Amino acid sequence: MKVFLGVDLGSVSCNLALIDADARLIARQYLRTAGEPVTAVKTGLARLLPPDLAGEAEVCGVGVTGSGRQLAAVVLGADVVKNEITAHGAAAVFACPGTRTVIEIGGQDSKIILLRDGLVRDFAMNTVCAAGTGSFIDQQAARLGLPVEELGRRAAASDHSIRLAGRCGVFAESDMIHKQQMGYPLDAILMGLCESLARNYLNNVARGKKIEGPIVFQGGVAANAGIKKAFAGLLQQELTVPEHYDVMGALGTALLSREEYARDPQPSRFKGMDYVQQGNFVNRSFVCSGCPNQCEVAAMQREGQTLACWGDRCRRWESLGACAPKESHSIKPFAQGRETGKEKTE
Amino acid sequence: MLRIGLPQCLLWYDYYPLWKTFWQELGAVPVCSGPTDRAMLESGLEAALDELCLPMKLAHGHVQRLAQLKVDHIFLPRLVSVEPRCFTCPNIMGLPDMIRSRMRHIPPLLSPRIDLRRGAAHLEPVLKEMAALAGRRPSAVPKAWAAALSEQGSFSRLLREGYSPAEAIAVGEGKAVALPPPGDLTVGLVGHGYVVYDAWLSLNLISALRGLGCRVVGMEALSRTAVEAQAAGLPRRVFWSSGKKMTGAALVMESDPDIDGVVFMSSMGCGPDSILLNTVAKSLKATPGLFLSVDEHSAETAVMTRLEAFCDMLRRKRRAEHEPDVSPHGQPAYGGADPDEGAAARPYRAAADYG
Repeated sequence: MKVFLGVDLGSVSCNLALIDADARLIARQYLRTAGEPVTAVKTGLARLLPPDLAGEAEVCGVGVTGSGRQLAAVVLGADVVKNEITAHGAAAVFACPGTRTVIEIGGQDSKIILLRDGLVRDFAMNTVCAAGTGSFIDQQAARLGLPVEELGRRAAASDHSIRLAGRCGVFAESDMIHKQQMGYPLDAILMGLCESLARNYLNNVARGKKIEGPIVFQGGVAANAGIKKAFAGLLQQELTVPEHYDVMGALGTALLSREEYARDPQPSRFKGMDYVQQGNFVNRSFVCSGCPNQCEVAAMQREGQTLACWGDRCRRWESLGACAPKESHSIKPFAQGRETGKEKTE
Repeated sequence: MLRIGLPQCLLWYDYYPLWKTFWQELGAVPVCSGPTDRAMLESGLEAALDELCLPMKLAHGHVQRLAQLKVDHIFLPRLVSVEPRCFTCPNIMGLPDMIRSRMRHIPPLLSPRIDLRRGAAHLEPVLKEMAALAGRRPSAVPKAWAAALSEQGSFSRLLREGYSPAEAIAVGEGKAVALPPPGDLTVGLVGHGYVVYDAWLSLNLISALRGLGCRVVGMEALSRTAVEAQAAGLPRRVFWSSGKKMTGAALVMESDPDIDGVVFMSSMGCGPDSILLNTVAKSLKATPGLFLSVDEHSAETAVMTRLEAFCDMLRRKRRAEHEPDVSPHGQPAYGGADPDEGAAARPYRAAADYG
């Protein structure tokens, strides 16, 4: 069976999707990155492709997206490395044809994608501020001792809301604490939080964009019924949450790799289950002393062999690719000298 | 030999060939602070006032670097106005004062006031003063100035041909610089020269765009007359020189059918840009625009994600316009046009140009 693998390695979660040659979703996984992206990819892949399935599946294409896409591409061997906008747009149009607006809120970023006739017409992503994204909601749930799923459910169940300052995550938190101390019911405060986050999104990320229905709401935060309710109220229309809202990035990139294969059926660069599962991947980093920029260069190694480097502004390491540390280069990253002292191993 | 330090920041990107040649003609040695690096940024952040925008803070870092390079003077003219009826940004006007009050132990600042609101005649005493400093008679000025203007003229011509300022300067210094191959997309670049052409601040914006297959058209590559004409047609006159140029350029790019999209990059904390952003956004009607803001915390990956998505969008838009079968009128390019069709039989062809 020909299959296509999509991986969305994000800051908070790692999502995987497996589709067949007819673009049907065969398997999916959503797991927390938990600060260990390589482990997340390995675990996710093992769960996605259990041995019985792995035996009969022929991986014809691998697509990766998300902030960790470079890393995932190196670990897996990817055919398509795509930005999140393109991946999410592709998945939204596939899952809900006719979509005109995609609201996507993930772990540390949020975006709006405007689609017309199935084409991305315009998009925007949050700038430096990550207030109102998944991480912040996680943090608030943890502070209140609630599971994050519970937070959304309780908020949505509240019949009213308490208005909170939502412009900034730090202010929102102090305002929440203040409102709790005033004695307002928690559920109403939670709904207030959801509304302030939705307002923040509409005023910042979606600023100046014309939001037209049908609207699709996806990304991990789409699980939060409170936020969905808040958006529906502010936008005066219902939002569709697709069935696989939490793995849309992975689904999108799997679709893109399938598309690539349809256009040009080259063998996949996928390195195989054994390569991924049995290899010992090590992240290392060093400070390059080639110029005053002092870039922190990260290198991915497997069994002592450097697969790729990145993080350098001048690309001298990145362009070296698999052959990174060689004696002939003037700067020795893992050899003697001051770099070794600063070297960090993850 | 008199060593004159030229900080490689702010309006250096616009006027470097002019001042460099003028000082050389007077027998002085111009010394640049070099391209921005992390050490400059850090010393700049330390020295500058908190509320300034990043390029201004960076200017302090460039001055610091010149101090380390042991120059005799740092040439930092007080640029009040570079053309009639327009001003530079108020921070740029005040820069020499800020540097003097914030930074000790630096070589003396040479900061003659340059105010061209009432024409170029007032430059004469300034130029004579500079000649005197270099130990030359006032009579040396006309020849040196003519050479400087001619060098600046060749620089402008190179910019018109599509070279970036750094490349044009290299060409002016006799190096062979080939223009990159044109690429399948043409992207207009709008923003302050000291942001978009500073590889550090802009997170390698130009090379990133070129790497994505774009031909980059800077504001300086447009016809100056066309930019002025478009800016003059605005409902209100923009009295900042850079703002006028940016809005005028955006309008020219909007009306140019060869330009697929426009990238506007601005630095966080820029007062004029916070106002101009809307004007620029409004001037782009049929041409898609991407608005990026950068600060000292910006990550290259974040900029790359947006640029990649923008280029994907432009390519897709173009294919849809040129290949009618990609997106039939009103029909989704993805998924089945016929809702009864099974998922297995979805005509998925159109998604090809996402790849």
